[in-house]
Amino acid sequence: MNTPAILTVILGLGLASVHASSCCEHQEESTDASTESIHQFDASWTDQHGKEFKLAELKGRPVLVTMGYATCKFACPRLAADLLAIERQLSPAERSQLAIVFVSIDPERDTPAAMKRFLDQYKVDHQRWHGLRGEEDAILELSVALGIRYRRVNDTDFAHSNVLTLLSPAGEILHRVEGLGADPTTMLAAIRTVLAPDEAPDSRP
Amino acid sequence: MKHAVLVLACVAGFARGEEAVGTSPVPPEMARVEGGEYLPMFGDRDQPRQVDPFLLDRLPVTNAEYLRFVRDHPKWRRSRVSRLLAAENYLAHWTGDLEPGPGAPADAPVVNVSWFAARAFLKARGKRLPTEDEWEFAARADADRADATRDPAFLARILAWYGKPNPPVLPAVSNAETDLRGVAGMHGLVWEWVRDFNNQTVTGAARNDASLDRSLFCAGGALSATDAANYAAFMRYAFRSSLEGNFTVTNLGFRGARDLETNINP
Repeated sequence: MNTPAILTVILGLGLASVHASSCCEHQEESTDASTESIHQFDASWTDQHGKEFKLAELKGRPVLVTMGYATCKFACPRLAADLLAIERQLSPAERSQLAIVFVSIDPERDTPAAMKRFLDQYKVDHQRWHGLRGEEDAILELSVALGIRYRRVNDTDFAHSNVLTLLSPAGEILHRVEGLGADPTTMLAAIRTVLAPDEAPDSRP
Repeated sequence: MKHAVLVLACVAGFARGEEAVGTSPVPPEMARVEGGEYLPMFGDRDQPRQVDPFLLDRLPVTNAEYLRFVRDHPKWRRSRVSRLLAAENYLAHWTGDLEPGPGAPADAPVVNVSWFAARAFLKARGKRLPTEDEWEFAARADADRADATRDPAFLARILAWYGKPNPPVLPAVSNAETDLRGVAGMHGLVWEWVRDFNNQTVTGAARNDASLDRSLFCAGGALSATDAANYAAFMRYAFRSSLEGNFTVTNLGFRGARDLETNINP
């Protein structure tokens, strides 16, 4: 995150007495994993099959999560491509343990059917990929927790930051990658670290 | 449940003879802000934006009010709060979980609270944070005018406050300047959270729109503002863009808002 730099800029502009605490530098010190989990967000979502979905259902498996919208013409197809690129480099055994969640920021148009069409374009495994539609407040809450910024810019488009986040099986934020087309090396390493130790080392392709 | 609470709140409001505007009662601690168009400052936001009428708390939330909240909601006490929801300086100026202490007088605005905490407090009261548009729209007012932002003296007063160091102990909210609607302390007391503080995509990662918002941070930022004179608003947008939802800041507090209708969406 650029926060310290941004704050430095602001302080340079003359803003007095601002002190901010970074979100991530203390996470590793946590001793109570459950309280740091995004599973605590109890909002109801709807998946691409039209079924109700709670984030707590992801408990027990690592999750790659991103936010965008299905009719996005530029960034979101590339976000999906980045997710697929990571997935392709995992072995079938590794892949089977990972859930992938694409959360829509456009609940008006991203109906379950629209999300299914979007995911079908990439021939994803619908058992492990979840395309979620939620209420505006649930979307905002999750976006803030994941450090994703967005806003509607016109009737059909949103500006949004492109962030892939790896969640632990307990729902803690383990790793983030910002930007499209990022080198997947660090994310792959983070995924393999969190996967079951007896599965990961010997099953790489 | 929300509806039940609101119905009760409405009944209680009328029973105390509150001002009623149309079909919506205005609780005594809130003021009605008439909507209208205004021009935000940056990037693609040069089209006038419509702000619907809404209710806004007359005062920022105080330490005393926040103490009652953490008494009733233990998960928001300093020692128990999730780091996902509030960083380690959450309520750091309080003496203890349930003791604000001398650094946090009862009638001073509560600060060092995260966006998640502010949201939870307001949700428990059937309120929500004001949107950035709502806050900025309301904050244009002074004691006499709904929009004082063309007055250099108004902007100079705000900037003079931005330039001052925080006092070691914040003053009482009742001492703050009140605008023509009866809303006090929008300037001169503390900075305030807004609901959609994360609506500016300022990181380099937002390649699809970064050019829209880099104007906030590049040297020419103020020149691309729709109202270059309103440097104070520029500062607020820049500040919000630096925040994350669990951040706590020594001079950042909040106040509540509410739709005129009963469909509260905290």
